[in-house]
Amino acid sequence: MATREAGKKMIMLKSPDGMEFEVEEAVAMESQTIRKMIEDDCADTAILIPNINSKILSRVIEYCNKHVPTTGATGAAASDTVAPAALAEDLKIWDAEFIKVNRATRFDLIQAASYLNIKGLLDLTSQTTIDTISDNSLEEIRSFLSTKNDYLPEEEQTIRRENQWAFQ
Amino acid sequence: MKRQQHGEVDAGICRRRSPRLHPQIHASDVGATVARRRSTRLHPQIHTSDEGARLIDRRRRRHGSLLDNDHDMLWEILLRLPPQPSSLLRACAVCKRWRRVATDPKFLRCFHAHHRKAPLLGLLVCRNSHKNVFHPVLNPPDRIPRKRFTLGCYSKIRYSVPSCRHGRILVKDSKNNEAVLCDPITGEQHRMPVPPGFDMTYLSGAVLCTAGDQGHVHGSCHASPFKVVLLSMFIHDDRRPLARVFSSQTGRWGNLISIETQPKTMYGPCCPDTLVGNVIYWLSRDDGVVEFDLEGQKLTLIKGPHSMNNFSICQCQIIRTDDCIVGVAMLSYQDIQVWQREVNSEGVSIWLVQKTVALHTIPKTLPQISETMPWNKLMGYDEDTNAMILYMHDSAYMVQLKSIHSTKIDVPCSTKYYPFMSFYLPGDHSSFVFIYSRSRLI
Repeated sequence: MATREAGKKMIMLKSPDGMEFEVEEAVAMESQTIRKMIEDDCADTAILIPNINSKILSRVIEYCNKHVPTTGATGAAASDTVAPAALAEDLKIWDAEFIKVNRATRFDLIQAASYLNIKGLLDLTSQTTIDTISDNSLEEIRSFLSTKNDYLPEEEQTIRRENQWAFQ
Repeated sequence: MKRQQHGEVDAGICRRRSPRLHPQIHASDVGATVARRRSTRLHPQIHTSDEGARLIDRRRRRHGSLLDNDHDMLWEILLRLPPQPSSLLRACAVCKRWRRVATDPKFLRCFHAHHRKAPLLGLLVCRNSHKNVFHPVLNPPDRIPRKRFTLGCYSKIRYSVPSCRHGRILVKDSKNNEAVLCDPITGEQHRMPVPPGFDMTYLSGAVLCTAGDQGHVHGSCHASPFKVVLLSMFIHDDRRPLARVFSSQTGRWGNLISIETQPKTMYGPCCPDTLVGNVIYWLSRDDGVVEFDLEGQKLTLIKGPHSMNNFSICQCQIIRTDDCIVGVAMLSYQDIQVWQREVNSEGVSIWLVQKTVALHTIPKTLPQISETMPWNKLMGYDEDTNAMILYMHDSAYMVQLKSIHSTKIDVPCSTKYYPFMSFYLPGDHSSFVFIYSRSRLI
């Protein structure tokens, strides 16, 4: 949990399992959902983040902390002396490490990014999922995403036959 | 009526998805949109404060069917599939739920907006004394079979193609005095009787999508309004070059627009058009360039760079430079000269050489060129990527003018190639027809 720092406004985020996270306002505002709450003055007390447990919420805060713009109220991401290109490369490497999580955690992160409306995190988590399955067969995709094939065999055959060229 | 329904759907999409897809939207708008969206879709979840129920839900997810139960997550993941044709078709085959999302017009609009640019599916190859044929350029599984690219009867030899843009093809039917607009992905065709005074022999044209809604991406224009410009270069019997614009929104031809200065020597039809901003250009004879301002409805004859006189018309191409300015590229046996039209300090338009690209510096694929075989031709142009299609010796090459990156294309020798960029639609195409009044076309 973060500690209060002088000169920086802090926001308290609360997960449904009772954990509280004190984060800088600028970090919390990486989430467009929380930004809206703050702008509407709905963030006087702790903000309850429903359906996102403390483990996932802490990862989300970790992401926001890294991605908060350096020109903002915080200098958490990098110092002013780092060139933008180097900073972008650093973030890319950091993202690649950050997303090395198991499938269930990645799905939880997608759901959290979707609810909190954090575009960068949503892009990262969703794109990684797509990259994982893009070269797989339909059976492998279903297996990886635990999606049940609810087509009748003849229905699936028809779909494949209609666009046979796309299944080569 | 059906058109109105489309409009309502469109408005709904913009409210729902625009915050993520358009970062330029003001933060306050984004927040407001998020609040609206979340209050309707996630509200029930927020009230699921019953820890037991949530854990059961979580347990079920751990055992598998997460994407089956989370529409948002499935939407977000499928949105990031590659824009190539096979992606959504394959997604449709995973299960019925995936198919519902991947064929949902709202989803497709977001999918196109997310990718911003339609892929190059292939080239329309137009040859004298041959059929107009689609030639796919993508590798399997994205290589669309020719039969899925439908021109119907207009693929026959006697139909010429004056223009191709935004996933639509303009065909000239001289026998029936008609201009025909074809959407080869949906198979839709719209026939427009050519107005009186327009001689079919001297006829050129242009087609363009006129969708003005936020988030529209060209290449997904199947249901969008369009305009067709016809240009007649018939100047005998003291007749002047003429232009008229057909709008799908009014369903009729606009006013007759005549050129201000009567040219003394010119004949047509002109070369295929190039769209630069709101102005359409056609190459004419020698260094003549026809300019039509769509907004100002003004038809003008301008002069191109003087050195155009030294090149044949199949060695010149009007281009849209990377700065979105009109230019001309000229291909010799040894280089490509790129000229750009600029306005000097006295307010006069002048042509300046922007750059010269020696052909031997174009990497990888171009063969060694010799002066004894000067059969290089400019056979097509993609204004979106500023890439030219050159034909040299026995091969066609697509060359990006900015990066000088070249790709060899395996297509037969032709008189004209039209790059065809479009998203491929999964599912039933019937909902993507364009609807407009056809009660009075002239």
